[in-house]
Amino acid sequence: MRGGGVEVVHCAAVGSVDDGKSTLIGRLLYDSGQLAKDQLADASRERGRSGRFDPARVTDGLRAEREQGITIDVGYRYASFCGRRVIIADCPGHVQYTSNTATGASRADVVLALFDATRWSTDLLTNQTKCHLAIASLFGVGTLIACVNKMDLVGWSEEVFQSIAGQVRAVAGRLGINNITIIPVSALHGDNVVKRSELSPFYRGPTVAEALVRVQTRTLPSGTRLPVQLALRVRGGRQYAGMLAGGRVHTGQEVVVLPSARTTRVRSLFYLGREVEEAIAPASVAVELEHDLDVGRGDLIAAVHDSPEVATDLSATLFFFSGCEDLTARKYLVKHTSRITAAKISSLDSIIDPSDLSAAPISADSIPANSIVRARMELATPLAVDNYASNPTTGSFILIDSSSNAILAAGLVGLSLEFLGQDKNVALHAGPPRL
Amino acid sequence: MDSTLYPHHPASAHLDHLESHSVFVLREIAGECDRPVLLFSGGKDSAVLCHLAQKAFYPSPIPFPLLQVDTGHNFPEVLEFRDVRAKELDCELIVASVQEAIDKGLVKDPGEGESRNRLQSAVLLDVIARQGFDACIGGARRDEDKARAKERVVSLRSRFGQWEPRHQRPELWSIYYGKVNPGEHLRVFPLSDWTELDIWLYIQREQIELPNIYYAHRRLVLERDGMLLAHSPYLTARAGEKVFEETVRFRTVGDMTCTAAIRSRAMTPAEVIEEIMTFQVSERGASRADDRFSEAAMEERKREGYF
Repeated sequence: MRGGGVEVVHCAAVGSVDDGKSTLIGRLLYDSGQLAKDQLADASRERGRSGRFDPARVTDGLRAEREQGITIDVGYRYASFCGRRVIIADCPGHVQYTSNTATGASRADVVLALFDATRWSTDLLTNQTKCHLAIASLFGVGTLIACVNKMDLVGWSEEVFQSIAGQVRAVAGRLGINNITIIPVSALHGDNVVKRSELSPFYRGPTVAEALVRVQTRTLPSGTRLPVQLALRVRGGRQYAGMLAGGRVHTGQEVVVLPSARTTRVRSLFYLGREVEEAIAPASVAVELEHDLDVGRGDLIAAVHDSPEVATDLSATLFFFSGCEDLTARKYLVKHTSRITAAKISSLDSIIDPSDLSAAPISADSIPANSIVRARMELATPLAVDNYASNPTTGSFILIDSSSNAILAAGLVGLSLEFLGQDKNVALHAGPPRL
Repeated sequence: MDSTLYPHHPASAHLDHLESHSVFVLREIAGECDRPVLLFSGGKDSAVLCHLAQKAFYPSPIPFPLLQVDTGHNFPEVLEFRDVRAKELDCELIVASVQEAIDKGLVKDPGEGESRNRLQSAVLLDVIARQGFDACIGGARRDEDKARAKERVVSLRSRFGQWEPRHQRPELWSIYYGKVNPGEHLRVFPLSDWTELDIWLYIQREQIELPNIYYAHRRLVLERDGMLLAHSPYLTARAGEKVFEETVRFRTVGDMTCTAAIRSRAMTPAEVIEEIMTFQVSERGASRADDRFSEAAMEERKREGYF
């Protein structure tokens, strides 16, 4: 709750049912003194009577969640440790709510995952947990804080901890998550959560709170990307308003407007009404351009060099939230930055195993919920896209059912793109069009 | 003219991020929805929201009307502020009156001294349907309450105006989808990621005007269920309750019958910020009598269509 000037860490907390995730978050807040008295009383109430403090009740905010003792949808908690702001997205563990986990993971810098130490000899890494880690990896989260929980129930055994740590490291490493901190904890009693525990002399690393403070947030891409949200009328012309999705923009900068590929310069730049010379992502700005071009919502203003590709046909990874039939026969809408366009899935390339991200050929035209597929998409109007890996904003989209407005899938722009014919370099370097 | 924006004064950078993201949300809704409306209660969060909306579309005017649901039991200071601010912003102000709805028989008067908070939902849904609003932009924050913590930034309401917390639209990255089916509408919360402290730091930085009841003043109050409630024509002392004068301020502003004051000497945003740092009780826990009765009070009201 304290103010501060440091970057905010977005953290997605994941784990299987009963791994103790909500308990850990409640404990993080309680032990760092960030729980108000009334919230504490609320978390100590059982069926209307006062009882023992139950850290899990701090986050489970829906009636159904408290009744069933599970997390159904993402709940957000706002905390700060050592002056650093942390937004914790408490994600559900149940398979049927995996889409909510994707909602939480899509903005995350770090995944906080829980593993139940009492289950180490059996199926420690459940498919559900592997699936959560795979989603995190898919969305580009490269940092993992793994809590081996319920250490009190295994007598704080170093052997158990090391064995689990080995498994976690192997699985996460295979998924491309390389920055890993593994911590032995008891969320219920608060060991190594905020306070260092004397019960784990074999462990010399950070507590969970310390690990969160040290997280490096995602770096924003350097190429200038300004998706246009609105054209604002001003005396003598128009300003194009949007939030910078990468790089910086400055007055006099040579820019290209996509998909039309017209080049021009930034005449003036405004940060929420105030004229400035330069702005850096993720600032919300408005620009005036030197030439009177036809620019509108959904267009993208980018640096002339290092501009994104313009495509009507692209290869993408789709994460489906619900089961879908007749995938290649249906009509969709795609929302990419501020543009909505009609789209089709022209072909399905492969289906990806959510527990290890391995690809297999796909034969059916229908898939169950939580499926990840690689597909080729055909777009009614061209989009200016980057690979997801190089810019998560211009490299991502959502897939919408055009008849029901339901959001069906998250899309990540893949590596191979079919470009909009012509010679792109010629279009980009041809200078301003004749007006 | 400033030469660069970031890096700024470090305490300000965090507010810049919040500000830019909120503006992004407001612009998306303006770009994608047919008839949005901004819920303007005259409280501090909606004052911040109006300020952000003004910046988002500057130099153009705010491209949507303001809407207030007047319970008939609002603080007169807040109503006056509401009218002045709407005029300054040059925005159409729509007032949906709970009293009128009671007179017409649309809703039932809960009786003297009882909160009309719950009635606001029916009145709000009625005006949404009559005016055909497809998006209601509100100042709610996720840190206010456990049920609010479960909200999306852009949250769908069914044809019955209801929130279905188990079937929310997935909300990936910062892609907000503004289209709805006929009869449905969206609730939009651009301040989702702001905390009470952020709001006050921003009020201080931007010198945003607020109704004076947010700052310490002398007032006649009475104590009920451990809370200080304003003595007013709508709330009179019951047997055994004493009316007395106290130096207080309000942490939130709503219906006079259920919004509690706190003892405070904070006269400026800086003093309020200092005070917030020492609080041990949450904003709603300290000032909303209506949320204390049941653990799921907010969820229940939200399901019915509350802000």
